[in-house]
Amino acid sequence: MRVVLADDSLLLREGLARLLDEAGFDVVGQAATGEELLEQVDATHPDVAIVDIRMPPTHTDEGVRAAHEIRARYPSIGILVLSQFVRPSYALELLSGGTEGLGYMLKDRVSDLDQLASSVRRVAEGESVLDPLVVQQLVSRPRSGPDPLDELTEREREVLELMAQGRTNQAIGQQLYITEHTVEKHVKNILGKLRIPTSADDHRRVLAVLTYLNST
Amino acid sequence: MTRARIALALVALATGIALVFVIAREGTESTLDAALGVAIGWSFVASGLVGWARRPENVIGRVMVLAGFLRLLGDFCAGSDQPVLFPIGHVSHSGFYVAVGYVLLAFPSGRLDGALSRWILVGGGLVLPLRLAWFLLSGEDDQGNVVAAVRSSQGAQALAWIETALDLVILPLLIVVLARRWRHASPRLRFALAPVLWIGTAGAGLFLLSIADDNLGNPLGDIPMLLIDLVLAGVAVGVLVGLLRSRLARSAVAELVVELGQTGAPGDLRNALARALRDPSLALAYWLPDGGRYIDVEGRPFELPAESEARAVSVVEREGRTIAALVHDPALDEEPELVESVCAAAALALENERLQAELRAQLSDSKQQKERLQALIDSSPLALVEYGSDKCVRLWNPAAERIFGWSREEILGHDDLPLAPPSKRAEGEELFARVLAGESLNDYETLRQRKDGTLVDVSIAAAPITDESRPVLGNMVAYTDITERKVQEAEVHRLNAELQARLEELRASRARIVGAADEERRRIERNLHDGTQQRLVSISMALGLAQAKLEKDPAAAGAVVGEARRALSAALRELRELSHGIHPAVLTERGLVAALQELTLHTAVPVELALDGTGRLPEQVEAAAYYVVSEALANIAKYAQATGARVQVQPVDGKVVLEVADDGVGGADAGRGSGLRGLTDRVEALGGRLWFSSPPGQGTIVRAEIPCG
Repeated sequence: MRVVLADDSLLLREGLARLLDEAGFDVVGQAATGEELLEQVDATHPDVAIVDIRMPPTHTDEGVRAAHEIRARYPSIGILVLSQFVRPSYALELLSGGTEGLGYMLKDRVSDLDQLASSVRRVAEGESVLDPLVVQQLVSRPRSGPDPLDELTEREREVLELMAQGRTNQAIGQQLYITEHTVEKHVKNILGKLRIPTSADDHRRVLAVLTYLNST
Repeated sequence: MTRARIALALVALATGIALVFVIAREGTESTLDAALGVAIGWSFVASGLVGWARRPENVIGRVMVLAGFLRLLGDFCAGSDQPVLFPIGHVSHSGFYVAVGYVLLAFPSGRLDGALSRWILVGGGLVLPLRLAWFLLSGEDDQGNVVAAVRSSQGAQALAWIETALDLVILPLLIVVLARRWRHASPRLRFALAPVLWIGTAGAGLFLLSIADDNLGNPLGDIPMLLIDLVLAGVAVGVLVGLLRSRLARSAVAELVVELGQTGAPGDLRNALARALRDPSLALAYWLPDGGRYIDVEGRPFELPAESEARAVSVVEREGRTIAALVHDPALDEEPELVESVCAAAALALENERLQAELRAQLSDSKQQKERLQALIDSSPLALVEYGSDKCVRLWNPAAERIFGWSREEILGHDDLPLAPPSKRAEGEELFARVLAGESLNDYETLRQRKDGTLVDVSIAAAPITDESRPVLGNMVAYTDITERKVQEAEVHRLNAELQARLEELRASRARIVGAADEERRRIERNLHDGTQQRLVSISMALGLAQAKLEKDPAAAGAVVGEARRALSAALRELRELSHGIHPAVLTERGLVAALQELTLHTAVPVELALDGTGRLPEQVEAAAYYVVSEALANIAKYAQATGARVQVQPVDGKVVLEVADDGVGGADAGRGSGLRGLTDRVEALGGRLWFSSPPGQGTIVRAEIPCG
């Protein structure tokens, strides 16, 4: 699987390249800025672009903008945005135009080679990946008035968080050691309790859940 | 009454004629004596009857009539050949003398004043029984004293002595009293008293002479008695003269009427009245009905004196209205009809003069008012200027001289608004016209010019001068010099502006401090993110890699772990430097001196430290001082191209004074970079100051003073 990296820190870029190499990925290009990244993508047509969210010149959300640009040009390329910080707003911005093949992951998790490799593969396969910490923050953030999330059972809450992380029903079932059918029942209950319209499409479901979590 | 008096006069006439005949027939006394006695008797009766007629209420006239008859009776008895009449004659004569004494003492009022007068009369009265007793004892008369029942020459002698002694007491006393009356009499009274008192005094003296003569064996013979008789006749004449003088005074009323036609000057009327009333002390007061008070002829207020022995007051009325008051000698009260007739005669003239006096009083009032107004104008601190409708200056007071410099003489008559400076001429013309049109101005602040052309801030109040007949005669303007107030106002404005500027500076400084703090936080965050965090992430990745390699290739994993350990050391060092940059721990723990010593260990140029006497200071002061030195040294390293620097810190008067000097190229720009600006804010926030001096080629000196309070 061919991968392009973008990070303004050479140290991190090199470290990440070594890890990906170790995990069996083929790092075909490295970039220090958003501009360079786009050039690399144009030149190499990778399966996945791994992008640091904070890059020159503004050191804010260059990664998100580069991701949108790549998505516009090459909808099939999976994009994993790495962030030093837990910034739900950036994550939601990234996913606002559709969640398919997009991921937002904290840099802390990179050293876990398995998690890194699985995330890269998931976005390459069109799934969406949202860092559990971001999801947790969205779920647990204080809300004004009665919190509909309080109506969820412990299990339903676990299912909700995994849903928000972009997991499929199958993945959720495997993670929680329950059948896919049970997961579907939970999902139906959760969406009912939170009054979120049901949708067959996993990606729309993720977006709806995230939007709900962010807005209420 | 008149009939009774005529009868008495006839009786006296008859008695006198009878007396002369009797004496002539008997030959007991010389005809001269008899004639003299009759003359005395008649003169008293006649004077008495005149006085009685003129003053029925006055007892003097009647007493004189009595005295005259007593004299006639006494002489008749003495001259008769009937021994039985002798004692009556003696007593009558004594009574005559007592009556004469009364007239002398009581003239002209008929009242006795003073206890001494009364005692003198009582003493005189004692002579009557003494004389009777003597007569009884002496048996003096050879022709047979029928009543001389008991003869006692010794007793008679004793009585004679007593009588003489009594006379010797009474007569001098009489002289004393008469002299005293003279002395105390008012001029008006003296005028009436004069003949009576002088003659009376002479009579008393002659009596004393006759007593002496008697006791010396009569060397003078009949002379004293003859003189006494002449004097006694004189008393009657004196009284008559006194009365005639009153009559003369009455005739003065007629003269007064003539004189009144000639009075003109103020005071003429008073003089005429004084002459008519024969009272030189007379004073006239005119009634002012409006003021309810008296005024004198000049219109001055006149206070009526309280009635007393010295002054009496008679109010003059005309047609029921009070017009004047006469302040006169109380003796005039004896002649109320005189006063009345004089006042009646002069009433019209008095009324006339009263009106003149009233007019003078009004004039005097308005004069006083004018004087008061003038005093006000002269003493006013306002410059008071009156302009005629032709703009001509008509009034110019001393304050105007003081404020504008023109003297009264110089400015009066100027007719071109000389106080309006060229820049305010149009305004001055406009104001003048407005006031002339009837408007009043108040607190109008503007500029006017002095004689020397300098300007003066004034506040103007102005009002039109009007008169009932004509519209506006001119403008009265009051100028107040408000230079001082303007100066104060300017000072207040200046202080306000200064305060405003300082507040502005403070606000800017605060904003810079806040901004600097934010910037500092951002710098730290970036340092952490770009440095430490990246390193930690890369170490984390290296460890992840090592973990992945551990089983397949333990040697490679070991190498990666070693790499990670070195990276960790670097990260720790970076973190330490970063935290030191935020706030050097040594500053908090060991103080400014230790922190500066540490700071200068690693500087690019050698630094000489002079920190004598510097102990621990307040935390904020130490921090500010540390950063001033630290920033200055950083600047030296960056720009100064210096070969050495010197840092001096010393406490002075509750302040810490810092100086960082180098021997570099100088010419540094104070506005360069925010470092120095931030330090200035930091120092000023603590109430201190920061100076910066960097002449080209002479090195740079940064100096700060920070209060330690």
